Amino acid sequence: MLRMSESDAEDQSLDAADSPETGEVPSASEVRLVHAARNGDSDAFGELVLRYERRVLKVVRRFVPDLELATDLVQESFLRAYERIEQFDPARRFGPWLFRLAVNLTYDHLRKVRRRGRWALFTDAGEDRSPDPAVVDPRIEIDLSQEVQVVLAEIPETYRSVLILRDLEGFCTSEVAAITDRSEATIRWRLAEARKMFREAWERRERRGENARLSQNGEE
Amino acid sequence: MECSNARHFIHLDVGSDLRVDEETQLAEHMGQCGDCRTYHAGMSKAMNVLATLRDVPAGASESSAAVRSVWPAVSREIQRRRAVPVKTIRFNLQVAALSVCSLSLAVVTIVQSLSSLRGSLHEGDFMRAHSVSSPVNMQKFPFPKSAGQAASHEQLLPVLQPFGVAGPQSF
Repeated sequence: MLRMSESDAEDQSLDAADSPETGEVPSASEVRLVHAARNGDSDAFGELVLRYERRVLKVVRRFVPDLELATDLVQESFLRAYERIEQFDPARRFGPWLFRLAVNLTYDHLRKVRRRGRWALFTDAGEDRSPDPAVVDPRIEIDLSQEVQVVLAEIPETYRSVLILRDLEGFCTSEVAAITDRSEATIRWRLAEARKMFREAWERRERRGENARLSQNGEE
Repeated sequence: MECSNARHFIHLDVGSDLRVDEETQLAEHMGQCGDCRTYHAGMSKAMNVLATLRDVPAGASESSAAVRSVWPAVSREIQRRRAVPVKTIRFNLQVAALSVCSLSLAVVTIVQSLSSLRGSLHEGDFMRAHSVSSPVNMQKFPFPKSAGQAASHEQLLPVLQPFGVAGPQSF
């Protein structure tokens, strides 16, 4: 049997059950708040902001760890949500729509930073490469969270976002599908690939760390 | 089930993302395949790393007090944007009409020039049409009236003298 591809996964989505998240009925209070916000009630929108801001910030910081920058992105996400609330379908849940705005905005920011770096005369692209292989990798000392961040950075954006949303933020696959605006079958396929990539990158990193530790012990 | 498919299922199984029928298929395969069992163990180990960080937000070193609500800033910005009059883009009919008139005038001028040029070419007097821009005033040039009548040397000399032609010896 041939290996399943992303397009196969997309085809399978036809017979798979529809995303329960998008079909799920939003809570009555959320519907009321969204309705009021659509009619220009900024207090109702404020309540939605207070309800979601911590979770949105947590998600954004998985991509942009800097608190100030992440807060700015969250702020901009809510402003964009307020401006586009007319486009929101009130039959759906507000959360995934808001997270989609926030994740897209975050990725736009990251792409902009990357583009700026690409055309700059001097970049820090090579800073995490040790010039001398005998020198111990300083990353061995950094904590697990930072190590995972470094490993995640090796995974392509499309897969990384799915992995972060599912395995670090704990959204179910249907929620990830709603946030990323993809079918659930596509998300499942990407998730499987992302986990495989993470494992490979993590094992590579462990091997590098092991080699560095051995060479350090040899010198002593 | 082949191992490649089983691996795909293993990647989903470690996060409890398999459907019941898929779980059964995978369990059947793993019961017979030692390689896939080993692969599953390695995969679970990698996933445990992610699982330990699930409840730890990125940059958890900051206290929760440092994370302030964004609502006051968002609210201020909403009010500021409301206060700023919305710029409406209006179609400027005057500029458009003026542009159309200018363009029409240019087209008419070009068409008229071309038709007059074509008319003069039809008469077979191409050289006369260029007499203004030519360094030699062609209207003074003694062209033969018919094919059999050639201009004599004496007729040509006064016209060519300004260009350094002195006499018959210079031909």
